[in-house]
Amino acid sequence: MLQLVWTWQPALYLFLGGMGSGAFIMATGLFLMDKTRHRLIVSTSMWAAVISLGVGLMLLVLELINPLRGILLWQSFSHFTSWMTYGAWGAFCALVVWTVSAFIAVPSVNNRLVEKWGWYKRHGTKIRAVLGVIGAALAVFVAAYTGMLLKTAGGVPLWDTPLLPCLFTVSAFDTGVALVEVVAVVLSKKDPLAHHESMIMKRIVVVLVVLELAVLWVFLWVMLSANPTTSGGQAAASSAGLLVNGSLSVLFWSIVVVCGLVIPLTMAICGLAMGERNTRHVMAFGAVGALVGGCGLRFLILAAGIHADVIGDTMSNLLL
Amino acid sequence: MNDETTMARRTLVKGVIAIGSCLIFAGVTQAMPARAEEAASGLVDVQYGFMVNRRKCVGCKNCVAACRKYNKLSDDTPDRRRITERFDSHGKKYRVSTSCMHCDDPNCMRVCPAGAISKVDAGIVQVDKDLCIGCKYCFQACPYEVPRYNSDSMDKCDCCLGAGVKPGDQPYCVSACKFGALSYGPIDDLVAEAESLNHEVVRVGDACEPNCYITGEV
Repeated sequence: MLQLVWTWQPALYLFLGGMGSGAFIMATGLFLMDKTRHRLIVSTSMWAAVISLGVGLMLLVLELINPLRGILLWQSFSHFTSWMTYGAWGAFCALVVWTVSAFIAVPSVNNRLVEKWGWYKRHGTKIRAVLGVIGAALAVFVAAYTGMLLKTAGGVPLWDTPLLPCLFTVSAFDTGVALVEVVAVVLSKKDPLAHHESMIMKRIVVVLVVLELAVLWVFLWVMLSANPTTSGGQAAASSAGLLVNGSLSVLFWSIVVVCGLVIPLTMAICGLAMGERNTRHVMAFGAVGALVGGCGLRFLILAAGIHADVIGDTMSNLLL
Repeated sequence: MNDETTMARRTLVKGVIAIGSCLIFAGVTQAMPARAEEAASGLVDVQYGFMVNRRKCVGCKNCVAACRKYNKLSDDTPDRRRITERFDSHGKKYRVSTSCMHCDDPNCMRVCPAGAISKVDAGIVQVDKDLCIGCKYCFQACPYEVPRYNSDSMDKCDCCLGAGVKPGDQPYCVSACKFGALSYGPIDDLVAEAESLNHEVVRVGDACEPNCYITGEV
């Protein structure tokens, strides 16, 4: 038995929103590290973040029973006891700030603004940095929100833990860096990634993957060792069991663990060891693995999110 | 670029921002008082709830059919009431009929982004189908898997308010039960009455403080 009320659209939205957030943060980081280089990588990565979040939000709207009512943000997301409300407004604000940032990051647009507008020539870089920081703050919020949405639902034991927002946030950063790596590989002829930045990104990948492995391990351990005498505890353990050794285990171990964590970690370490040599293929392989694994993680966590059989368990306890 | 063009553009941008802000503000302020009014009119003085007798319920589903009939549920609307069956150690089958628990602290109401779910008179938890966007977050929030969906919105038990029954009056499922397995009333009174008869009284769960109890002669 799997959770089938929220299926592929919400799962893909959680992935795309997280990946977009991570990509925007990494792109902003690249810009802040060196404001004159990697202009194409930065702008393309920012557009990739915008498209990711935009497509994710569109999927979410299409999944609603009443999509037209759903796009009336001020009416349909006006109840501020719901994390979905905070998420909708946060994602909307992020989309606006990211779009502006991405637009002025386009080299030809930036050049034109500098040429035609004296004030922008003097303050443009500062404006971009400020927008980048604001966008990155919103990105952190959106990344964490993808986990908070599930955590604060309250009816699904597997999701009802602060470890889930932690897991999704780390995974969002991880997949975001992977997306920027893919962009860098694709644009390697037009805008080669500097060795210094390349090494930094590989180190970030190592740190994030190790962190994600740790959080994932603790998350599953907590769930598997939940109190079996309660309905919630039983459901939490059953859900985690689905992932670890149940019907979802093959997908979980192959896609999330091997593809999404082991391969990116191995490739990043190999890349670091290779030093000055061309690590494009190694980087691309690791990044694609991280993206597939990150996407799979959302699908599997959603699918394993089964409810406890509270009424049935209450009956069974009565009849003992 | 001349000054007049620049001025005209600035004015246009300012105008668009001002109109947009006004629209959003108007929308928010329009949505909020409506809910505040609703809350004010829906003061919950006495919490009503359901009591189901596991020794009397035979699983005939008359309650399910009456609920569907009188609430005029469409074909694509799932049942609002469900029968749960369990066996005791002697192999004897017991059943209980449950629907929405009309919780004291409903998760569904908390997580609904549109504020479509409210707690009204008699503590009934009701969904406003004109506000529901159908995000299905309430299903993930409800520990009892109560919210269900049709092609229009979320659907669940509202103690037959939508079928014209006044808050506190007997819903059709209770009237339809020929075996006296279902009771509806002020929940504290129902619990006190069952306890005074020395019956077992067990709440269906703890989460959200549901107002539905399973009872039966000991």
